[in-house]
Amino acid sequence: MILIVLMIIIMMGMGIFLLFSSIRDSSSSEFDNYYTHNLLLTVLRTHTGYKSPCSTVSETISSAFLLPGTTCQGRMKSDILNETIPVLMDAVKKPNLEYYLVIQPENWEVAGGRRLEFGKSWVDNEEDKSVANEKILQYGSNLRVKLVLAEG
Amino acid sequence: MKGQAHILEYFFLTFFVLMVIVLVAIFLTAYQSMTSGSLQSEYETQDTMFMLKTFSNYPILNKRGYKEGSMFEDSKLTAATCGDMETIFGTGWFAEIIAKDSMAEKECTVNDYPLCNKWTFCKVSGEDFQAFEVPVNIYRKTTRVVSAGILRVGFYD
Repeated sequence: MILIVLMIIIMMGMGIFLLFSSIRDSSSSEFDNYYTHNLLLTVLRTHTGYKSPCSTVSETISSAFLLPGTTCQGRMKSDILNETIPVLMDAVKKPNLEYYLVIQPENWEVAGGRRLEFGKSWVDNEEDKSVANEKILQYGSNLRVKLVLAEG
Repeated sequence: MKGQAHILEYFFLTFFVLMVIVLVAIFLTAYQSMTSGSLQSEYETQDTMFMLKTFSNYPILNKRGYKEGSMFEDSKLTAATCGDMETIFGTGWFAEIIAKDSMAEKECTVNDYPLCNKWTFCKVSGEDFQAFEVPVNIYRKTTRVVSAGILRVGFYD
């Protein structure tokens, strides 16, 4: 009886050890972080096809926050973002990934205010996700941009 | 009767010791194959990361003034050759940079520039490879427009 218990303990110990040693994979998460950060930078720097102050995505974001309700070449800045960001994301991200992009002023949690969201919000609740953060300081704005990626 | 019980005891003890030895052997083999597999994939990812980062920031291909991410310049990409790249990265790899614009995919040569959106370095057809990609920006020098695209780096098996 004691021998059987000993055997079970040994087997369980080995199983737990194998399980934990298979979990760590630091290099793949490093690649995921690099990918997410590159995706965020790429989208922010891309030209929208509109003139200043809407020439790039980041410029359009900051001007949409500073002067809400204004237009660029007759189009609402928020409409330009709604039209450009999903198209860009779908063009460059891997098809198996889903994204959630949030743009909000610094200290939004305390001060509140406007907040722009793109993509699927459930991505932020996923356990296996990759996050990239950037700041937009153009035209005196202080905006926090967060991109979350997870497999769909 | 007592002698038989002793023999049975010895038999069980020997069986237990043998089972433990077999289990430890199986465990060590599984652990060895698992660690060597994960080390292999870690080395591959590190190689890929090195290649992607170096390619993304290489001054011969990029527009000046961007510290983070990459801003490839289309004229520099068109002028660069596989031979130039192989002097830096060695052999056994390929790279593709594709601008995701409204144009259909078209390979860039000196003759087609700037009406093209794909640059390929050192690609050999028919060979097996493993590829990784990251989003990048491409600066179109003639129109001064920044496009989004992807950089795909592959290693031949």
